[in-house]
Amino acid sequence: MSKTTPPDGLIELIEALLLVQRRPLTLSELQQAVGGETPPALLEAALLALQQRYAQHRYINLRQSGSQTQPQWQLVADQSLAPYLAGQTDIKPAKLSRAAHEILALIAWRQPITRGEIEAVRGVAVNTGIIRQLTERGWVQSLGLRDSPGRPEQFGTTPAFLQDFGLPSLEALPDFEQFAGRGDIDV
Amino acid sequence: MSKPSVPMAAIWRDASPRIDGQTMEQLPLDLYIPADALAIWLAEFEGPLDLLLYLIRKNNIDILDIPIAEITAQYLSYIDVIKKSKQVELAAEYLVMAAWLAEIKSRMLLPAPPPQEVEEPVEDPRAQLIERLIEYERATRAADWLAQLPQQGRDWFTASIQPPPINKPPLAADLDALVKAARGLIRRGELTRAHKIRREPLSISAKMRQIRRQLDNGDVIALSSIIDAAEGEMGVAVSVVAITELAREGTLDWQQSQAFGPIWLWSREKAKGTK
Repeated sequence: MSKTTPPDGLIELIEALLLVQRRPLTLSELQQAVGGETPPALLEAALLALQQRYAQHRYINLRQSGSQTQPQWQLVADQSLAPYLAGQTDIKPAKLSRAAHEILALIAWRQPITRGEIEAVRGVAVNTGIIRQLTERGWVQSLGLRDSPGRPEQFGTTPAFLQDFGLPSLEALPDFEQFAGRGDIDV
Repeated sequence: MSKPSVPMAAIWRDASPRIDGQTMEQLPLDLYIPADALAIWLAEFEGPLDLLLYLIRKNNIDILDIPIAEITAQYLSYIDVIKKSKQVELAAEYLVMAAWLAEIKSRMLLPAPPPQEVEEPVEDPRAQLIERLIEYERATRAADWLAQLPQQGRDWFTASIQPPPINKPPLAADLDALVKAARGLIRRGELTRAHKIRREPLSISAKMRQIRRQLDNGDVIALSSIIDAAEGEMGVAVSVVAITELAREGTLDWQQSQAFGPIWLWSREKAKGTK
């Protein structure tokens, strides 16, 4: 057996560890759980083997997210399972409107941001229902009041937002400036 | 950390308004739209900036070189439609934008200020509008980028199983350990003996009775004969309270002939009797 062939028990141990956690785990978290003496290379090999096993599974995948330098893994059921979940009404979240997506984007990239600042960019009043919808979804939270006239409430995103969108951190969001520049709008 | 690049082509959105699935290239020329249809048509836009961006795209205009006069005229014609349909509350935000466009237009019609000695860059009146349009465009594209990310609950679901309870198993019963623990407790009990705390046996009413007795027996008694050194500080305090209490109810009186001299007490009743 070569040095990077993971023992069978390790693959299954990692599988079980990933299954009991409802969040993605990083390599160091896995190493800590398994025991510090297991070399990372062996863990990576085990993850790769696990990924190959789940590649044959119709509904469950080993999903790798995060960055190249700090990847994280999570066992997830993919879209192919969604039709079978349709009967459970509470599991399907309401679809977000275009306005809600724009507001969520501004909160994600420009946080902490006030309602007034969102309105300044979008040119229209912010519908209170949308902020509430995003808050109830667990993606947006209040970041307290800004120390400026009127003491407006500031909004930001939650850890659940990052998790639900498969982002390891806010730094993983692309530069906002990249989305459009001068001379970019003409089609 | 390397940032993911944005596939611009993938997130381009067709902003053309639609009615009944048909793309509406331009408004009917007679400007008659049923109010309901207009509401649907305007609902396609997220506001005045969105409408303006749509006009710029539709007319294939370079955003850095917006022909303000032309765009303003077009914009106003849309406002006209809104006004005609009496959807005033819908129109408010659009009217603000129309006013701004008109302001930019009028400022561009003004002759350029005479060149100053100190060369100051003359700001294009359109610069702020362009900034806002670009910022809004970024927001819409960022929103599209977010929307296309695989989302938990929509595109993927967490798979999990219930972990076992991590309580430790109960320890086996061990008689030896129990006996040892009991011995330890007994030994500790020997080292720390309990003390019973009793109430002080002094009471004010008992002291008052004692003083009355002493007063009945002698004519005049010294304060020092009332206070018993064995009773300690508490005895002094109780005696003083008892004496003042007796003085209050008129049983006794006292006198001190000189500073720091002895204090004499006597019964007022007996004193009256002797008079």
